[in-house]
Amino acid sequence: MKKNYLMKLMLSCIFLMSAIVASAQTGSISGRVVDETNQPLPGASVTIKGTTKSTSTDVKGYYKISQLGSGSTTVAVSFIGYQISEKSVTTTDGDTKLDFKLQPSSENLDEVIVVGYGTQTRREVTGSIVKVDAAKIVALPTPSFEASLQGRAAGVQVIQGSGLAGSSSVVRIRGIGSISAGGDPLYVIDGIPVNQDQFISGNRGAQNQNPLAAINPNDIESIEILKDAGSAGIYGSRGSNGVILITTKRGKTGKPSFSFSTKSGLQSPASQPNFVSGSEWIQLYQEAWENDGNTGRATLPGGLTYDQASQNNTNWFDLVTRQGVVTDNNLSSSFGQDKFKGFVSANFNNNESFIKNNSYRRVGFRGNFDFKPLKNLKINVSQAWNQGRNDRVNNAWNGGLGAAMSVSLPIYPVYNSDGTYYNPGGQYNEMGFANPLLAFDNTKWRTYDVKSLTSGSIDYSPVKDLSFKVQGNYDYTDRKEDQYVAGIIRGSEMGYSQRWRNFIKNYNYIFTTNYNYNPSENSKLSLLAGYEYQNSRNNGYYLGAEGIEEPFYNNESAFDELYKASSGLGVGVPNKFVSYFSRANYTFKNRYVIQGMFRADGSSNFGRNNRYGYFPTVSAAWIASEEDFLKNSNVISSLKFRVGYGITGNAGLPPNEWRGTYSQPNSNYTYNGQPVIQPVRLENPNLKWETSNNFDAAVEYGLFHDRISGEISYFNRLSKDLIVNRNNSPSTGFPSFWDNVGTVMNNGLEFTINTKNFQKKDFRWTTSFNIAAYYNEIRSLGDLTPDAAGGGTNDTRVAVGYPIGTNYLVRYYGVDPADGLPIWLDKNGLQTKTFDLNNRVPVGKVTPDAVGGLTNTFNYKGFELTSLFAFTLGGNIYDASAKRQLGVATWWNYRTDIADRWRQPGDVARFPKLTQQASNYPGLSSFWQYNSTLFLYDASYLRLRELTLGYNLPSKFAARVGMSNAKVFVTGMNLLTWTKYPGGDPEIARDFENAQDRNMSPNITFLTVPQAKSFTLGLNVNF
Amino acid sequence: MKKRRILYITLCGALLLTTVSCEKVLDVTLVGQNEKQDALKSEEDLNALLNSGYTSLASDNFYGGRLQVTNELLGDYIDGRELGGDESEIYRRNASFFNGQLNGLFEEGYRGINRVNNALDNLDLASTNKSSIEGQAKFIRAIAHFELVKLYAQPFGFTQDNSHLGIPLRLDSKPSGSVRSTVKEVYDQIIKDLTEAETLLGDGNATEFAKATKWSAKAYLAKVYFQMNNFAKAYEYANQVIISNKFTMDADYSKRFALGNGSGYASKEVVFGLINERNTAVGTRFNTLKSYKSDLSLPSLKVDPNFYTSVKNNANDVRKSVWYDDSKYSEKIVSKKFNTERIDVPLVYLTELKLIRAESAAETNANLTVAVTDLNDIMTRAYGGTSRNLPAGASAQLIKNTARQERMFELVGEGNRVQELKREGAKGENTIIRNAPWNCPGLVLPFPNGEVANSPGFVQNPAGGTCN
Repeated sequence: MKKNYLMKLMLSCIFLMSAIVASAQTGSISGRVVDETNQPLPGASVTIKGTTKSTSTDVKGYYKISQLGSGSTTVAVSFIGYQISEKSVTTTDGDTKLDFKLQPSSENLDEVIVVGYGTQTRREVTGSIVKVDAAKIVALPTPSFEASLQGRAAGVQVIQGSGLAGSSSVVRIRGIGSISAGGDPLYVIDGIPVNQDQFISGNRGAQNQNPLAAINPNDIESIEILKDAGSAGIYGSRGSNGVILITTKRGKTGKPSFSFSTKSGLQSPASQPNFVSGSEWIQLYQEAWENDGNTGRATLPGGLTYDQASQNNTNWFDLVTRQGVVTDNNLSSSFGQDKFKGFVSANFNNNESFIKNNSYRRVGFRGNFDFKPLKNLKINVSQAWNQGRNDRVNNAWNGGLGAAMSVSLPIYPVYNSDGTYYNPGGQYNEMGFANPLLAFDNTKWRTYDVKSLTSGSIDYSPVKDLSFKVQGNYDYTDRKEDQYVAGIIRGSEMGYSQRWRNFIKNYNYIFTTNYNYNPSENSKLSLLAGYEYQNSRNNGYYLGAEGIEEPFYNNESAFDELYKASSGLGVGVPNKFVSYFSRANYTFKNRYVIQGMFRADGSSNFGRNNRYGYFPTVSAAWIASEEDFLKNSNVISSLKFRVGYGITGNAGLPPNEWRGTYSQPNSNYTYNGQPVIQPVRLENPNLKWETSNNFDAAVEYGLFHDRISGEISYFNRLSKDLIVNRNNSPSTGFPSFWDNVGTVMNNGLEFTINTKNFQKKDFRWTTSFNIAAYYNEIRSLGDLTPDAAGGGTNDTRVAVGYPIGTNYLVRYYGVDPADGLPIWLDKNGLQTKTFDLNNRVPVGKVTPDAVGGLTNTFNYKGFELTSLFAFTLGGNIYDASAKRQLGVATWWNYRTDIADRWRQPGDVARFPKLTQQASNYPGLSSFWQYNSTLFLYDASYLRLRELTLGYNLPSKFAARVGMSNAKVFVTGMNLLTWTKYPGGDPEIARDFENAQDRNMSPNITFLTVPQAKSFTLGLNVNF
Repeated sequence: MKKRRILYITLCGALLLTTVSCEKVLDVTLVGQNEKQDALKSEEDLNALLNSGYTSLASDNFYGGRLQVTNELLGDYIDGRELGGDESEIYRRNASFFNGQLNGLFEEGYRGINRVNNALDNLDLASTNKSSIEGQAKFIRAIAHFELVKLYAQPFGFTQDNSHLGIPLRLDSKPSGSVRSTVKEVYDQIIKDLTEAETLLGDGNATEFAKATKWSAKAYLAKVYFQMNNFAKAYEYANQVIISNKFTMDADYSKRFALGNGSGYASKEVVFGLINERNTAVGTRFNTLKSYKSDLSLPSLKVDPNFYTSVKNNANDVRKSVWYDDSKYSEKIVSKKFNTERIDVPLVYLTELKLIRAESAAETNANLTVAVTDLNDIMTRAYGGTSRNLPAGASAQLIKNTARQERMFELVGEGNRVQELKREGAKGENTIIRNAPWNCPGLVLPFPNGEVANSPGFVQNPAGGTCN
C-alpha cells in the first residue's frame, strides 16, 4: 500500500514538473473538491470561466489547472447532483490554493436527467420523472433490484415477491389500467427494452421466475422512472404502465479507481402465522366430530391411532425453514482518458433463503467502454453477462413451506418407526406431500439463467448541434430448468427427469437524430427523430423421460440422447415492434418550456386492420422562480409548474391471439397413431391496441434555499378498449378469447417533500417523505358481467363502478350465538343462514388507497443512520388459505386464531362452531367454497423497510491505507411490521398464472411464502 | 455552415424514410399452428380434425375418467368420507357452479362436439371417405350430447312430454350464444345423429378399430333407447349387434381394460372404445381413472363400505377378489378394477348389450329365453360356474331383477349406476339413490358459471343440497 502511495506522489511530481517546463504562463490553481460530508468528489468538473481550460478531480477529489496567467480568475466546479459552485481568486505566478465544498441539490435545474432516447436538463423536463439513486438500490438484499424501489418514489407501488429466492415483485406505476394485458412497467437498460417476462416458466412449483433477478444491482448508476405521458409518451404503445430507465455505470476520466464492496447477512421470515400444537389440533378435530353428532374418538387423518397421534407435536414450519444467509461481493473499476473510458465489474451474490434447499446464486460481469476517436465521434460498447442459479423448491399450493402451513399436521411424525419418511398419502397430500421433507429429499430442481446484454452505439456529430446515433442491442436469456423427481413422488417404480429450455433472443436497433437550434440566448429548440425495431422471440422446448435417476444437469449425455431423438423443438413466435418517434422541446427565456412527442408503433400482436397505433403527447412547464418577481424571493427558491396530456398504449398480450388457428399434426399428439388437427382458438381480427388518455399536472417547489423541496402532482388516466381474455360460453368449445372491452379510470395525487431539518457542521438530519393516493374505477365493461370477465381464480373480479381486482364475496355477518352457525348477508343486506354464491357482492379491493415511504437520514461526524418506512393505506387482503386454516375441520392444520370460536349456546364468537362437513353450514357446498368477508382484512401496514447504520472511516485514515474512502455499515431489512392482518405477512404477491392474475390478485394470499427479514454487515472501499 | 446543416438534416430525413418497413416485417409466423386456409385443405386434414374429436372424448376430463368418476360420485359406489373438495361437493349433491372438475368435464364434452361440428362444417373437403367422416362426426356429437344431458338435466321421462330443460344443443361450430333445448329436443337430435351415423358408417376395419362403426352407432342406439325406457327399440338395436357375431364374450375379467395390441382391443367384447396410444412417448390417457388405482398407494377414491357389503354377501362372486381389496389399507376398501398403468377404455361392450337385451326382453315380456341365455352367459363367468344361473323358464320379473343386479356388479366404477337408477325412477319406480329420491335437484349438475354469465337468459339448474 505504501509503495502505491509513493508511486502516486512521484507521478504527481513528474506532472507538476512537466507543467512548469512546458509553459510560460506559470500560474496554477489547485485544490480539493469535497461533498457536504467532506468526502472527496472524484470526477467533478472544474472549469476556468471564460476559457476552455478545464479538468476533473481525481479519485481523492484533487484537481490542478496550470498554465494560468496572473490576474483575477473565476473557477466553477460542477458535479451531478450538486449545486454549481463558483469562486473568484487572484492568481499569481505560483500555485493558488482553492478548495470547494459542494452542496447537494435535488432540485438543480441543470441536473442531467435520463429521458427516453437521450438526456435533458431538469429545466427542460416537462413530464413526471423520478430519479432514484443507485446507492439506494444496492442497500437492501432484495431478491431482485426492482424490489428495492419500494417506498422510494411517489406513485411507484412495489409489492416484493416473497422471501423465496429469485421471486418477482409486482411494480405498479400510478395504479393499474389493464385487465388481461401486462400491467408491469417497461424496463429499459441502457436503451434495451429487456425481456422481463415472469411467465417464461409459467407457474411451476408455485413460483414465477423473475428474469430481472439476474441483473447485478451494483452496476446501476441511476434509475429514472417515467410516470406520465409527458415523459413515457416517447415509448408510445409501451408507455401506459410507465417506463423504468436503468443506466449503468460508465468509466470516468482520471486515474484508475477501484471500488470493492462486500456484504453478508442472515435472513429469516419477517412474519409467520401461528399454528396450533398437536394436542390442540386433536382437540379441535374431536370437537368438530362431536359437534357433528358423533360420539367416541374421531377417526384421525393419516391412518394414525389416537395414541400414535398424541405422541407427536411436529413443527413443520421450523423443519422446512432455516437461517438464511446472503452474501454479495462486488469489485469494479473505472478508468479513462480523453479518448477512452472504461468501467468493468465482477459480482458474486449468493442468497440462501430461509427455506431449506432454496437459493439463488448470481455471478455477473460487466464491461462498459466509451471511445472518442474524434472530437465529434463517440463509440460505446457494453457487455454484461450474468448467470443466475436458482435451487428450487415447491411452495404454496405445491408443497414445501405451503404444505407446512396446511396439510402437514402437527400430529404427523417425520419418520416411521423404521426410519423411512412418514407419508399419509391419498387426499392428505393434496398440497403436495404432507411430509415436505420427503418431497425435498426426493426432488432435485434447479434453474440456470444466463442473461447477456450487449450493446453498441455510434454517435456522430458532423456539425455543431446536429448528431446521429445508431445503437444496436442484444438481450439474450438462456434458461435451463432441470427437475428430477424420484419414483416415490410419482407413485411409480421409476423416477422422472425433465428439462425446460428457453432461449429468448431479444434484439433491437435504434436510429436517432438530434438537432439543437439556439437562435438566441433566450430560445432553445431540441429536436429528436428516431426509428426503432425490436424483435423478441422465445424459443422454448420441453423434454422429459422416465427412468433417468438423476437431474439432467448431472447427466447431460442422457439429455443429449433424448434431444437427438426429438425433432422440431424450440421454435418460438417472434414479437415485433416497428416504431417511429419524435420529440421537440422548446425552451424560451429559460423558463417557458413546451414539448411535443409523437410515436407510431407497429406491433406484430395485432391483425392488419389494427396493426399501427399512434401516440401523440404535448406537455409544458413554467419555471416561475426564474421570473423577476420571484428571483430574489427569500421564501421561494424554486418553483416549477408542469402540465401534460397525451395518449399511450399497451400491446402486452401473447402473439397471434387475433388469428383463429388449428394445431399442426404432431408426432407427440396422435389418436391411435394417426395425426390430429385441433382447433386452437377463435379468431378476432378486430383485436386492437389498448389506449390510455393521460393528463398530468404538477408543481415542483423549493423553499428557503431548498431547505424544503418537493413536488405535488395530479394524474388522470382513462384507459380504453381494455384487452381482456374474456370468458365465453364453454359450450361453444372455446371457454375464452381475447377481446377489447371496457374502460378504466385511474386518478390520483402524489406528494413529495424533502426537508433538511438540521444542517450543522457535525450533525445533519434530512427527511424525505412521499405518498400517492389512488383511485381506480371500471367505467364500463361492455357486455361482461363480473364473472364473465374472467379471473375465475382468487376471488377478485372486475365490476362497473369498482376498481380492478374487486373482492367479490358473500358477506359474513357473524355467528348465531344460539346454534353456532354462520349468518350471512344476502344481496339485499338481509341476514340469512344459507350460504349462496349468488349473494356475492363487491366488498373490497386489492388496490390500496395510498402507498408511500418515509426516509430519515442522520449524519453525525462519520456516522450515518438511515431509516426507511414503507407503508400502504387502505385496500384489502384476502386470506384465501384461511378458508381451510380456519374453516371446516379436514386434514389441514389450524391457526391459533380459531380459539375465538363458538363452543356452546350463548357464545359470542368470530368463528362458527367446528364441523367436519361443509354441508353442516347450510348451503356451503365444500370447504373450497368457504369464501366470504370472514377472511377479508384491511391491508394497511407500516413497515420498517430499512435501517442502516454506517460509518465512514476518516478520510485521513483511509488515505493512509491507500483508500480514498471506506465505509462499514450494518443494514436491517423488514425489521418491524405493523399490520391488522393476522395471517402473517401483509405484503403479498403470490404466485400468478398470467398477467391478468398479476393485475387482479396481488394481496390475495394462498400459503404464500412470507417476506424475508434480514441483517447484513457490509464494507465499501474505494481506492 | 448553415447550408451544410440543412444538407445533413435532409440526409437524415431521407435515411429515416428508408427505414420505413413494409407490412411484411410485422407478419409473424404461427408456430405449430395454422390458420384455417392452411390447416384444412384436404380430406386427410379433415380426418385429422375428426381425430381431435376422439382425443377430446379420451381426455382425462371426459371418458378419461372424469365422466365415470362424476357419475359414480352421484351414485352409491364411492366412500364419501374424506373426499377432496370438488369431489365432496358432487358426492353431497351440492356442487357449486365453480366446481373446477365439473367445469373441466363440461368444457371437454363441448370441445369434442365443437371439433366434430367443425369437421361437419368443412365436409366439402372430403372425397372418398365423406360418409365415414360424416358418420363418425355425428356419432361423436351424439354420444357427447348423450353423456352431458344425463348429467346436466333431469332424466328422460322426468316430465311426460320431456319438455323440461335439457342442455344447449350445438349443431355447428359457430360461437353463438347458449340456449338450453328441451330434453325431448336433445334426445331427438341424439337419435337422429346416431341413426344417420348408422347408415353412413361401415363395418370398420382392423387398423381403424378405435373408431366408430355402424355397430358402434347401433350399440349406442340401444343404450340411448334403453335410457329412454324405449325397450322395443333398445332390444332391437342390442340384438342386431349381438347377433352380428362380430363380438364375443371374454372368458374372464382380465381383458376388459387391458391394453390391446396394435390392431385391436385386448377384450373381444368391445363394440366401441377409446384407446391409449400404443407409442408410449405420446403419453398416457385415462389418468382420471387412476383415482381408483390402489396398487401403489391409497387412492383418493375408495369403495363405499355398504356397497361392498352387498358384493361380499353375493355368494361365489368371482369379481369380489378380482375387483376389490379390503385388506391392503386398514379400514379402507379399494378398487382393483383399474390398477393397470396403461389401459384401454371400452365404452360399450357385449356384456352391457346383453344386459340391455335381457332387461328389455323382460320389460316387453318377449324373447325371455334369449334374456335367460344372456344373463347366464354373464353369470357363469361371474360366479365361476353355473351355480347361480337362471332356470330356462325364469319369470320376466326375475330376469329383470337379475339383470339389474348383474349390471350393478359388472359395470361398477364405470359411471353407469346412477343413470340406471334415474332411468328406473323416471319410469315410475320409487327409486332412492343413496337416501335421496331419483329426481333430487342435487343429482343434476350445475352449469359452469361461465355458461350462465355469458348467456343472458340462460336458466341455471336449481341449487342442490336439498335431499340430504
